[in-house]
Parts: sequence; structure tokens; C-alpha cells
Amino acid sequence: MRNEPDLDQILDSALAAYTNQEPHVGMEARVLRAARAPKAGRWRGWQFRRWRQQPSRCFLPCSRLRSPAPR
Amino acid sequence: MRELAQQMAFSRAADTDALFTALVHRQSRFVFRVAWAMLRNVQDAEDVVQETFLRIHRSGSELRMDDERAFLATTAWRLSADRRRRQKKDVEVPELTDYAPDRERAAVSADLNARVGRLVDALPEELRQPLVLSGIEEMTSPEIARVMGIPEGTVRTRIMRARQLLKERLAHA
Repeated sequence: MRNEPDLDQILDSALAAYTNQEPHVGMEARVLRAARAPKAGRWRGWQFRRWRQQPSRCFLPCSRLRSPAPR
Repeated sequence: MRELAQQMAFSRAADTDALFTALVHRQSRFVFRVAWAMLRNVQDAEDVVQETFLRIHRSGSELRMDDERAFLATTAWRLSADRRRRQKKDVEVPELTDYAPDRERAAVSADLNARVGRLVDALPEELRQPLVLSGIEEMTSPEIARVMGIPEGTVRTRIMRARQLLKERLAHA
């Protein structure tokens, strides 16, 4: 073991450098945007009711109503 | 009456949002460093930061945290550990015993920090994790013990052992 105090200093500065990494500039904005976005996945009850009230449309470009909304 | 209840609900939501935004601004760099120390990859660490804050936001924990640094560090550390475990199945990290002094010497560049970084990467996980957490801004042994869920004495012993190993490796290099 040579120069014990020097090795300690080297280790301290190298460890500081090892953990010293900056994130990208937009990281905070990305986190906040993701938190405010509606949660994907299961539909809420009101979404389902609104969807059921919509009349189903023909898949052809004419977009005629195909049938009345299901009850 | 109903309008008043609605207004109160709106103002409560706005308060929660403001609290959460302030928390993100205050602690996101710290959480990033915890994740970075574990994962050593900027993209992965940023994903962990996002997941950490999302979990807190969705569970409403931002209103109930006693010690926010410890709470955030613990969540980030666990998520990073899960991610690292998944990654480790694909890429095996070299163990310390694989590091022969000759090979290390051959790989030495002029940059001493890079050399120490490689040696730290090669430490066993149980020694590397407390060591790098101790290198993060003002993280004390009790905090690290709380994050890792091990006794404080064990944290100190592991940090000491890790430093000893690194010093030996550096002295031989």
C-alpha cells in the first residue's frame, strides 16, 4: 500500500465524478407532462356511457348511420 | 352548495398539482442521481425518475411524505434494482475477480477517474451500491441504510470494504 492519503483523495474525487451526471434539460417537463396525461387503460364509466350514446356509422365514406344506438 | 363543493375540489386539485410540480423541481436531480448511480445509463435513469414521480403522483403520496428525500430515494432505488436485475439477464457485468492487474493496466487511459469508474463498476453489487449512494450529494449512512433496507452498521462496513478493495486495486495498477 503506497501513499494511503493520496489514494483516499483520488477515490473521493473519482467517486464524486462517478455520480456527477446531469439529466437532459427536458426531463422535468417530461415528468410533469406524463403526470398530467390521462391514465391509459381502463375506461371510466362516463366514457363508456358517452361511447354507447353515439350512433354507429357505416364504415364506407358516405358515413351514413347504420343503426340506432344500442339501448 | 354544489358549486362551492366543486370550487373546493378544483382548488384542492390545483394545490396538489402545485405541490407535485414543486416536488419535481426540487428533487428530480437527486432522484436522477440515485437512478444513475445504479444504472449508469442516462435514458434508463430518466425513465426511472419518471416512473418514481408517476407512482407518487398516482398514489397521492406527495401529501403524506415525512422524509421526501428518503421516500424518493427508496422508490427510485427499488425501481432501478428491478430494472438492473432484468438487464443483468442479458448483459453480465464483470466481477472483481475477472480484473487481473495486467488487463487493467493495459486498459488504463490517461484519465484516472475513468479508471476508478471501471473498478467501481467491477465491484460486487452489494459493495458497489452503498459506495455509489454515499457519493451522491449528502447521502448519509442512515439514509442509505433506510433506502437499501439493511442495518446502518452493514452499510458502513460495506463502504469500508469497497474503498479498501478499490485502494488495493489502484495501488497495484
